[in-house]
Amino acid sequence: MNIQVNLLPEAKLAKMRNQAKRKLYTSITTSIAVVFGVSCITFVMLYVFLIGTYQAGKNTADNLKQEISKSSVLEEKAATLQDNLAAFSTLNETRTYASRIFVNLFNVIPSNVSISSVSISGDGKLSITGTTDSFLDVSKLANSFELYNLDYLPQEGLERKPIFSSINITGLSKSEGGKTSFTLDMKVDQEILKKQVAN
Amino acid sequence: MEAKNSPTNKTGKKSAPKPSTDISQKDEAYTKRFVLIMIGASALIVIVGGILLYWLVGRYIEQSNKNKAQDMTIKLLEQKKSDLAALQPNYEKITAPGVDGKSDADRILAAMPADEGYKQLLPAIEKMGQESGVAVDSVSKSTAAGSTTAVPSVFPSYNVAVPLQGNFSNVLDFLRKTEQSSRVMNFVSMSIEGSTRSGPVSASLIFSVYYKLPASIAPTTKELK
Repeated sequence: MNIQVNLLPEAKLAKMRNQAKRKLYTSITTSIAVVFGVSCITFVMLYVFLIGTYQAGKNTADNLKQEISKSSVLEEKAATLQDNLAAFSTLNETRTYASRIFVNLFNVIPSNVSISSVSISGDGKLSITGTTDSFLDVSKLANSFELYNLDYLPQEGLERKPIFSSINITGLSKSEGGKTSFTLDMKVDQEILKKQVAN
Repeated sequence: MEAKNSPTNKTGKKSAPKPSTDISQKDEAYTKRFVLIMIGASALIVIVGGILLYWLVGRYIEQSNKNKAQDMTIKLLEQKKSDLAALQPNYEKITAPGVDGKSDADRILAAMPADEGYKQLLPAIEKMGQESGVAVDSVSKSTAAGSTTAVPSVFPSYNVAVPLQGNFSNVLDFLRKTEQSSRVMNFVSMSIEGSTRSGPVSASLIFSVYYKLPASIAPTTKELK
């Protein structure tokens, strides 16, 4: 038969257990504090390092800006010239060749038709106002525009494509003198006209 | 010391009774308080430390981005400085007067002025009228909002009305000259009085003319990647 003899009194054992428990909790709390403390210090150091680098860079940037500002007049004038040249190039490509429109227009218009106004919009819409003798003449005129450069008066050196299309008689009225006033709206193919040699 | 009933442990052996003296009870209570305080302190450290760390990380990222932006700015400024140095001789070449006393820069600005260029346009129109054999009665400028322009454009423009007198063929010649002029003059409309076949006509032509204001060299912003 074995006898287990406890050489330390129970009170002493309980005190030691409590001490160990306190030590454990102290260690855990200290570890947490150390982890957070070290992290905070690391970020503070990094932040201070970045601010130092930024200040050094600021001086470099300020010096460069100062040097560049001496050439600001040259920069503005050169940029203006470059911009305006590019703008001119863009506009030149979209120039309207109205004289070519008129040459073709008057190829179609017969002698009994008198034109009082012509206007053209940016998207190539042409509006003609004039007078003639009868509704029949207006109708014939509209047909002539439709067939122009196709079956009627094909133009030399030009593709057989309609120069005037979507012809609409938007206004038609008889005046007191017996004359017929009309307004014709149509679309002009300016791309074809650009290929036409100027007369 | 008062021994309580001894509990039986796992091996079936009787363990020693838990001491419950004043000192041991105080120690037990002190340990409990201590553990609670440590748990509270840990929670406080986690909360305060977390907030502080979050704030610091935010500042770090912000400053890091500022530094990155500054690096990009310095690179671009250095590039601009070397570009401007390279531009200088080319600019001098383009602004040097030619044999006719006009530089390429003058020609560019005559074709596309940096202001309305109306004063320069008037003698040009008069000259084109003389060369075409038409009488230019007057020239008037219209900048009214909503006025029709020939070609919808991103560039600022205004309309110019030019009433003419002459044969229709001369009017057409005037029109051709405007198409060939260095300054872009786009035809908008024409009203005619008189016969287009023979004899003099009165025509009123409207053109759109364009200009472009001086380029802005103000700093621009770029998204940080």
